[in-house]
Amino acid sequence: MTVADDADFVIVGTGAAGAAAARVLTGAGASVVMIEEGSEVPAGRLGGGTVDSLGRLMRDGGGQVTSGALKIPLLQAACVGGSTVVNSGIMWRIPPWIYDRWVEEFGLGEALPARELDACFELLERELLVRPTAQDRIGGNGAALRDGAARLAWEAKPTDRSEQDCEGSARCLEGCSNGRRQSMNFSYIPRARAAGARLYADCRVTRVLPAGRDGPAAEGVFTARSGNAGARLRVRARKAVVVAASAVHSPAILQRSGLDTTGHVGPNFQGHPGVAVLGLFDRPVRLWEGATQSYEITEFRRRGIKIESLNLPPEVLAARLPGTGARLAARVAEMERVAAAAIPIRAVARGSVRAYGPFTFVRYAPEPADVALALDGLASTCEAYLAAGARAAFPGVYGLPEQVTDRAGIEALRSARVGPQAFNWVMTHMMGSCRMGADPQTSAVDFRGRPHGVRGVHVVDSSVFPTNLGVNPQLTLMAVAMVLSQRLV
Amino acid sequence: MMNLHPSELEALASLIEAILPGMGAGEDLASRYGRFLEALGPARGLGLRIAVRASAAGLPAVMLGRWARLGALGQQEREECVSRLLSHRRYLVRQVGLLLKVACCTIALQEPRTRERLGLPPVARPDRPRGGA
Repeated sequence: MTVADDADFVIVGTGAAGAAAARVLTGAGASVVMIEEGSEVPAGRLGGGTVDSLGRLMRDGGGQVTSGALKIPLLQAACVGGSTVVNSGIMWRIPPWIYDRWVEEFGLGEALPARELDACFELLERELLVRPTAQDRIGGNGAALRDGAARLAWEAKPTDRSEQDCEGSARCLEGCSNGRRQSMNFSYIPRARAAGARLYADCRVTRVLPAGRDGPAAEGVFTARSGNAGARLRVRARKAVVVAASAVHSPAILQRSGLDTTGHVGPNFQGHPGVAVLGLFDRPVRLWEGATQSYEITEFRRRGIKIESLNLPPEVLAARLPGTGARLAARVAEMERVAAAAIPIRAVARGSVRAYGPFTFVRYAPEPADVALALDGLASTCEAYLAAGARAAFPGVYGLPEQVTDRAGIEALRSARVGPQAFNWVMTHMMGSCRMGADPQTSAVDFRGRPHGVRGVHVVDSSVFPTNLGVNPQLTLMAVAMVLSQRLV
Repeated sequence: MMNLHPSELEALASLIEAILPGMGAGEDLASRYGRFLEALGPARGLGLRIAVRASAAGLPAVMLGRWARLGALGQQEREECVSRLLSHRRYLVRQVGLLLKVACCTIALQEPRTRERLGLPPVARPDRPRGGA
């Protein structure tokens, strides 16, 4: 059975970029169909604990990892709203030094003019209710970083998040069950639907077709979770197909569709691989209270290190604590006094995305410079925790001392010589795999997001970024998606 | 609910006892394990099930040179087995250990009594209303 539909625009993916595109296109009066591989999870079924959220919201149950020698989890959601459903809603505009590089090195000044990006930032910040985390939602975990940074006179601040009246239940990673965080499932997707957009969830796009006899169009197959498993979907776009399926899956869809016209769809995959530090305090921290990511140390941002408080769920925290057996059980018993921070780094490493049949493989390994940056970030976070009064900090690096308790330990960590396999990396903030540029010799898509030489298919998500950002990319990728979508109407 | 053989649950319980002794290996283990496997999906769930069975059967031989199941060892030896797995010099072996540690901690800390004892908030039930009597 084939379900057929048509609209002015078909948007593949309902995460930050797809929803931003839907906001622009429906706002301009165009008819829009959105297609999402994951399910639509109603608010009342969000916030159901780690296991439940892995199954309902995360791609591959949270088990999507890099191929190759190094196994790095690639954290992405697969649900209506995409990864905005399971992130903390932290918003940053593109750092000026990164934008300057995009303009000077990659020539994006005309494609993404500063004034247009700024207008989008302002609109997004207003509509998505971006604001600093309220003092009474900082929680013990955020306070640990705040106090450490204050004692060391480091630049730090409450995170700017997209939320309204956050209850501080530390459950952002499970999906906000009360709709306080303005993830796309609570903000731009309902808005687009109210403006007439139609949504097909539980449908995996298998290929997109460029302008021509059969296109532009998107074809997909309904997944087992739908009530229509195995049925096919074909949506004809009168104007264009907008691809916003993430830096992992947008290039894979283009490759499956035979639209890698330059050989640059897939390479240049980048991101912010992250490591984590735990701190053991003599006072209660209680990770299960406060905003999930309430505070950040920005002192080292220019160098590519950002330190963020991260209220991990207790079961994930337990697995992150060092040791096993009775020693681990004793540490778990004192979890109430453990703080946790994530350190995503602006890595120089480049990976690649490659689709083989229905499977997608991501190859990625941090470079030695990234390892040095991660060690620097870990050492700085240990320093912050010790300055805030922690009894010990656990950097979690294989082959190095389990805990850091003094200045000598911090310096030993900073100057350690280890390889990338010594870390438990987690990859978030993926981008770059369909790099935008004028030259087909060095880029995958043109300044309108089209694969070079292709008409009717536009990539608008973070895969068009020429470099990573060093900050949480949601706001920037939404602004980029809006600017590119405005060119379509 | 997933149909799990008692020998597999026994294997899992012995791993949980080795990794996080005294926490969450008892009551309601089958349903907590089943929910976790369902969350992982068929392929990754199968991978975990194989890892659980193989580890419980083979870790003592590989790590300690003892022909015994993990559950048949004393507590100290069990912990030693898993400790050697997690600190193994080969990266991929350590990753298997990490996978088992994550799975066991997650499954163990879903047990309401364990959470209560540790002072953790209860696991939310999304299919129930948050307020009301």
